[in-house]
Amino acid sequence: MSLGSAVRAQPFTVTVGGVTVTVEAAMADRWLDAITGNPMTSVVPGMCSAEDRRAVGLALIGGELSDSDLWEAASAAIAEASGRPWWEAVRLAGIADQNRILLGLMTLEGVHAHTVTLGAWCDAAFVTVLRNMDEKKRTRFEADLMIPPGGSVDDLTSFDAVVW
Amino acid sequence: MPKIRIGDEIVQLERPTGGQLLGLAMVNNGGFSEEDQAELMIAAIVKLIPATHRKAFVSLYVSGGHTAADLIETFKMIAGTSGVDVAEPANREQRRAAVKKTAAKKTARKAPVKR
Repeated sequence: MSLGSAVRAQPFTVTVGGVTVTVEAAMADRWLDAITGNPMTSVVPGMCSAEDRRAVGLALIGGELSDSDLWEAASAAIAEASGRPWWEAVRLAGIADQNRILLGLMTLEGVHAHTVTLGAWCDAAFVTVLRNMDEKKRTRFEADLMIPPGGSVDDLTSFDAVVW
Repeated sequence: MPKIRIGDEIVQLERPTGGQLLGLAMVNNGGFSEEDQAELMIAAIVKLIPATHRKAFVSLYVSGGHTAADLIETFKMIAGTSGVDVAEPANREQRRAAVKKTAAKKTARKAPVKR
């Protein structure tokens, strides 16, 4: 995870199995689509160049990559783009997907997903939730957000499983 | 598992792995150039044909025994019977529709019988 990718939309690389692919620069709207759209392939190789999408597609079909290879690459890509552990970004995106009040509050504050990076969007979503939450519930919310999902990646079948 | 005809023989395809299922779903959902899509479809079909019959399939394809339309139809059939729609629905709306459908069914079961 680097602050650079979180504060500015820039391409970066992740490895899928043994293959290195480039994740294209994108604003938060594309990331949120990919994360909440759920298909595991919508992050990696979905956010990659056409050439990398083809290469990963061929490797998947050829049996050279497993679904857990893809999951690990997607998790690493989300962490890099958000500057947070991947599960925090996935949970914040999940909250916004399930509860449009958060999106409404963020829009009123001038945070539009198509103009900010995923890192900035996650930070804004986090602060927006905290600001609008009963003080007593804040610690619990922070703890719930930060706790890593249990089990191994092999036990997780979709990002939905990570959202409360 | 789906079967395809290669010449006079009906051949049972191999069961795709989890990764291959994701690959099939990706190709099925599109988002590739026409050339890449065709390449991936052919790769998928060839990979799922048992090794003993691959040569015969490729020979038949090269000699014009299969048209592009045949290949697309074969791929769609493989994708359909492999359950890729279950493995990875094309989009969120589709998933939500599926959830709503399930919820509606549950409600229907719970509804009291009118007398």
